[in-house]
Amino acid sequence: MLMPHTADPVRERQMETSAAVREGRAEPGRGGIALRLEGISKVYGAGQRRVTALDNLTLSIGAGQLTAIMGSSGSGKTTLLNIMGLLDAASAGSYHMGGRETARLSSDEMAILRKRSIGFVFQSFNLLPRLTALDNAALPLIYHGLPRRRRRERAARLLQHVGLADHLGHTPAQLSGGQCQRVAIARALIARPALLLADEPTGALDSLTASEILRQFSRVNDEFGVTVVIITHDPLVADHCRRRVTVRDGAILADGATP
Amino acid sequence: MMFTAFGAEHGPGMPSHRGPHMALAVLREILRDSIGNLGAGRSRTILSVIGIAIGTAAVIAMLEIGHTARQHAIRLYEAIGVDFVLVRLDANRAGAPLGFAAARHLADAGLGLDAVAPLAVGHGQAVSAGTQVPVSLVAAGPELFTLTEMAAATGRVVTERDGPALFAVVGTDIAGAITRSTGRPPVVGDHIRAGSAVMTIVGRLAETPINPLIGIQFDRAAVVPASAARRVMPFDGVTQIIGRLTPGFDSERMSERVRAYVHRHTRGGDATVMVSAELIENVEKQMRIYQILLLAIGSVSLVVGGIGIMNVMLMSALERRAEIGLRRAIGARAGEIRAMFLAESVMLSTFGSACGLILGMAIGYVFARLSGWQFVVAPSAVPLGIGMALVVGLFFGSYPAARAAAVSPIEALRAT
Repeated sequence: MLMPHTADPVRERQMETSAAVREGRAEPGRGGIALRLEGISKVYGAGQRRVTALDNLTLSIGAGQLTAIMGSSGSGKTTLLNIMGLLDAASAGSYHMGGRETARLSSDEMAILRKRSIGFVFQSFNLLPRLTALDNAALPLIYHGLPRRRRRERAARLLQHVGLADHLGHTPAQLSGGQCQRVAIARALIARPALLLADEPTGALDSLTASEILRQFSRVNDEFGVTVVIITHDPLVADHCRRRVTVRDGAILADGATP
Repeated sequence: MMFTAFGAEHGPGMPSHRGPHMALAVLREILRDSIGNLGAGRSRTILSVIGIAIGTAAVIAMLEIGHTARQHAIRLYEAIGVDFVLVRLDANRAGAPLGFAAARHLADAGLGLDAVAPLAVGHGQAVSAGTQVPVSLVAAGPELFTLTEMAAATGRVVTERDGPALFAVVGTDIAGAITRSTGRPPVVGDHIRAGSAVMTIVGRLAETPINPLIGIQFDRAAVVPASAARRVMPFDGVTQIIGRLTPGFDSERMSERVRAYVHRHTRGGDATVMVSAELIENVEKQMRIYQILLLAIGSVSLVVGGIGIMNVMLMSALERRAEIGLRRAIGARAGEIRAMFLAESVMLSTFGSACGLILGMAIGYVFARLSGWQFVVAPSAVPLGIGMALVVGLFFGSYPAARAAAVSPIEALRAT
């Protein structure tokens, strides 16, 4: 396929995808399989101190789904997030992402895949305190080689989308928790990922702000067709998700959908 | 705005980087980002920068001083030429003094000297109109003025025809001293006294720079005819001979022959023979030793400054674990984290070095001024400053950068 030349690698990739979608080779939104974990195990340590965090876990998540992964602490849900987010490699098993096996990728290949396909939202926001909301949201595009002006243009549009148009120049210290988390959501979306992974995204927020953030996730899922996986121990959070997967002792305990 | 599910866009195989252009664009943005990371003016960052600045300043100042001094010496010797010879007769109480005639004959003896000017030099106090100034009394033939290209500014120099008459041509400083005491510059026919000898001034010498080989300050001298030497000095005979080496003649051979000649004519006396080319070499050798020593001191300061930078960057790598984890999570490769930290340490050391370069130049300038030398920028100063900054930054930054690059992306989730 002949690609039109543009200096924007992210947009370029999107154009490729749009073409793929038009040609029926890829299906955004509902239907296709986004993630498939098969027989995933993760073992820490060795010998006497050997700990099995994930034990032969199998899970598929469809493209465009909004899924909550629930579990108490120690259930293995954070390990599962690490593996799904390509932050860590599984000890055994196979992990297909968008139809590609990722189990034997090098550290650099995983980084490139994270950069292009995954956005992260964390419990403690993980914004850089010295940067403004605008620059925090724009941060990932550094690693796409985009010049600052272009990064800021894109970040400004996304921050407007999450309702922070009036706070572009504020640093995290000048923002409320909910506003910080919305900056983090803008940052996670800025490289137009296919998968949005959130780790306890409401853990540091009051219940009112939390539901506002959860609506944000639903909206992002609807409007952008991005696959969203939220890791949480909070059943209220899970109520916002169409599918709920419960993990215990490194294995799936329950997997249900709300109509 | 349409966002997509991942899949077909990556094509078969891994999406590696899209050519060197893309990789360069990423590197460029990482470098620009690093500049912002330095913004926070923490005190230990400033301290490490000061360390580098002092080290660089030491090296550059020493380089500048060495270079300026060497240029100064070279300029002096260039003025007299590399073939200038000084024969200084050693004190020889037992033997006979070397007469002017015998000394003049050196030029014709085929010993390797082309032209010679024998001098008898003594020191005393010149008295004129009640003021006293120290004066070098020089008894010399007219060859002195041809060899050294000295000339009279007013009046005339002394010649052969003056015979043993007590005529004197005086240096500018002596003339100045007379002017200050009498209220008018000395004119031809004025008298000046040194010891018991009363000399008649016949002229004033033009201002003469010190010849480093002869070592006589002609500005503070009175030159009398060779034949009058014994009338103004307590001793008899030539004390030193200046001359020019015959082109192509080996200076060692000339030196041996001249000493043998002196030995013969003074019944056992000896002489020290110096050639300006050798002196220039000696000066250069001394300067090199001096520079190596000073560079060593500067290098030690730089190493100390470099360790300061390493300390700052290590602390930074520890404090910024969460940030590094985040950057890794959003797609930075380990190499890109390494590049960011290396860029930061190189920027620190470059900033320190730039300050040091300016400081070092300033010290060199002040030193040159205080020594009365002309300040010359050493051609190697700027490249050396930049080179030191890069080497220090890369060398001392590489370990912290490696530590930072080793931070796992899962650190992003541990942050609180």
